[in-house]
Amino acid sequence: MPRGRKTTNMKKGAASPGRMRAAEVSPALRDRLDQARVLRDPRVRALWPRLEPRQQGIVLDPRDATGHRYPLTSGEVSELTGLSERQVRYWADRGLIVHWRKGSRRLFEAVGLITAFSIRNASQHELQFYRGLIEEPVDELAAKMGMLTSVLASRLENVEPGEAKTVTAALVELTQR
Amino acid sequence: MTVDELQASAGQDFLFHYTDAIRADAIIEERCFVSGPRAARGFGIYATDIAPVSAETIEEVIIHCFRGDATPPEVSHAIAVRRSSGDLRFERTDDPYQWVLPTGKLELIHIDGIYVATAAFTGRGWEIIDTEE
Repeated sequence: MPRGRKTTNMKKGAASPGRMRAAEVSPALRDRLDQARVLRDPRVRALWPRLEPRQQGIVLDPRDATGHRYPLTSGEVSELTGLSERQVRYWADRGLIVHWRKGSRRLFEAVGLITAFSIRNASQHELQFYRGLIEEPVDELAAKMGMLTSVLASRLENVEPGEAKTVTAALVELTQR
Repeated sequence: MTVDELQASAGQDFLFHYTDAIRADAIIEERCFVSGPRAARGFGIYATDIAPVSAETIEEVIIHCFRGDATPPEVSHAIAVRRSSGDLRFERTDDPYQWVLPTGKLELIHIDGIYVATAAFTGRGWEIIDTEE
């Protein structure tokens, strides 16, 4: 559901009285539904098969480990993933660990835990690459993105159309924001 | 209500809408569905007669209901609904696994009357986490 939508797209006469009616959705639920939408993003779907089976099990049902359903706190994500709380906050605040906020608290859904496990599984090389992109001035970032695009274009010449779609899906999603 | 009872009535009285943990929580809290922004077979709430039976159910649902285009966390919750109640009625689609309750785009559908229960996948099996009052 798009952020900011409070009521439904009700069309008068679309249904008999009482069947469908507009309703308020709480801000917290709206934020959580935004997280559910991100769970379906190609960039997140691409991460799922790379998690270890044990990690996938925790994502599907965190209750064994935490005693409750989603959302999880930074401390719980830290305990589950082995990242320090400081690392969880660092990567969350830089957009790599998906989360939402309730006041000053960062809260994490399944998509947040998937991205946190992915950071945990990443090599030092990968993390350094992400840090580099985060810290680059915008003009440097643009230059690097240009190089990266050239690399991707070159790779796409030799892959099947289905694979190409997988590679470009995240870029398409980015341009649609 | 038990998982066995849901399974026994699958396809006859009950259908199952598979979704993620957050949308399941929204349904439990608000007793309403939100229809999707896109629709391959028309806008509506989609359900199947594939009952939450085992760990294999997740793969079965992804293959038959989402044509492989979903990950397990997106279908880890099964919302059991009655096939019909009052003026709410699920209709068969041309897909043997899918029923639809036709709606408009992004409509909020209150489900008093058709809601039965919600089952969550635990990693090993399915567990009822909410039932109708």
